[in-house]
Amino acid sequence: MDMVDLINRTQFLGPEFLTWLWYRVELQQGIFDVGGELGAFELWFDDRLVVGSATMGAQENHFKGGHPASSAEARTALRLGKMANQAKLRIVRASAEWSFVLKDDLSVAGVKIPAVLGREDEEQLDERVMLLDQLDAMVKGLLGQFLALRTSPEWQSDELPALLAWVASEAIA
Amino acid sequence: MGAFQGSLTYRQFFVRGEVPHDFRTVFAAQIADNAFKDIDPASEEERAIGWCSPKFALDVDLHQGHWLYNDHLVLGLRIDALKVPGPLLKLHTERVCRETMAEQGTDTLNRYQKAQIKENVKLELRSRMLPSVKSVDFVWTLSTGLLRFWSANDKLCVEFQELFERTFGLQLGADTPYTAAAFGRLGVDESVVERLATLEPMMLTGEG
Repeated sequence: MDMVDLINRTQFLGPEFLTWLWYRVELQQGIFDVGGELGAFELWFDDRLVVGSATMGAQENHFKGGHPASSAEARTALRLGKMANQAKLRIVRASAEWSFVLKDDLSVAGVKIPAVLGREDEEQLDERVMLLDQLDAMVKGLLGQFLALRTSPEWQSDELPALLAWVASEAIA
Repeated sequence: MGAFQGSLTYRQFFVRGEVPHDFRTVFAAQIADNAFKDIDPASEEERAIGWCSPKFALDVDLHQGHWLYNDHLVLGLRIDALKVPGPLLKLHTERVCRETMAEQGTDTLNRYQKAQIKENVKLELRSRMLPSVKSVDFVWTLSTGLLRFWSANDKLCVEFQELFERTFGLQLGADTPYTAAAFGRLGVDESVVERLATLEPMMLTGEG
């Protein structure tokens, strides 16, 4: 298979990653640790969530306002076989906070980064890129954890059954 | 929009291949070759793309100070469109047809005459119009090979990718779960990458 085929063939990993993240946020109370220099941070699903399914045509559910990740409606959509296609997320690390919409193709929209202090163009550019790099490193750290787990024997024996039990359970809110 | 200020909506790519050691010279020529060129109103061209300054889209004289900021290569992708709106073209074509019939003292024009008038009107309107101008920045961090293009529009991303590869002679790989793993961006083992290719989608309804 060439690279394009491999990318197309593994497209389902995007929605799976977002859905797994949703599950893990509830399981771990939003606390994650990707190791290395970044270490621990908090991640929360914010007030926008889109769930859908490639196998169910273009049908999507858009949730806006409140806290959709813990709503009964969103959990019901999962029980119908849908997965998260995009979600507004919030990350807090030390005193810095990022807010952004992560889509299942890994594109990001509406990113709000911690305040940039530089005054000159080059300083501002360096700071903006550094803050986006940090955001990318945190998301990629989580994606790496997901893919390592997804390809391990523990996925079938532990993680997937637990995830399915969570999907089948009632939402908190 | 994007690099220095404004909204932060983007798609990431990985630049594949080696940056030449004399990139300042090499890239300067390649960027100049692919800098934005104005649409000629007398032509049929309705859309044009090319590089522009990330700080001022109308500036296409791209010397190194315009695109190299420490470790970042930054450029704007400028997209101009010069298209006469259909209803406007129809209206003015009708006006000229009426004037022509009045001058000639006839009630009708043949198909050839109407087509000729329409073409002339189109050219006249194009010469009086200004193109719409849009620019979207990209930031390529040379030391890491990570590139952000400040748009998530699929069509624009493909056009950007083509122009980038034509300009720099380097390939752009989209940032996807598979490529991020395969290009060593996630720190996962090669065995994980190999197994990714064999995975089947999970089913939340429990039957898979």
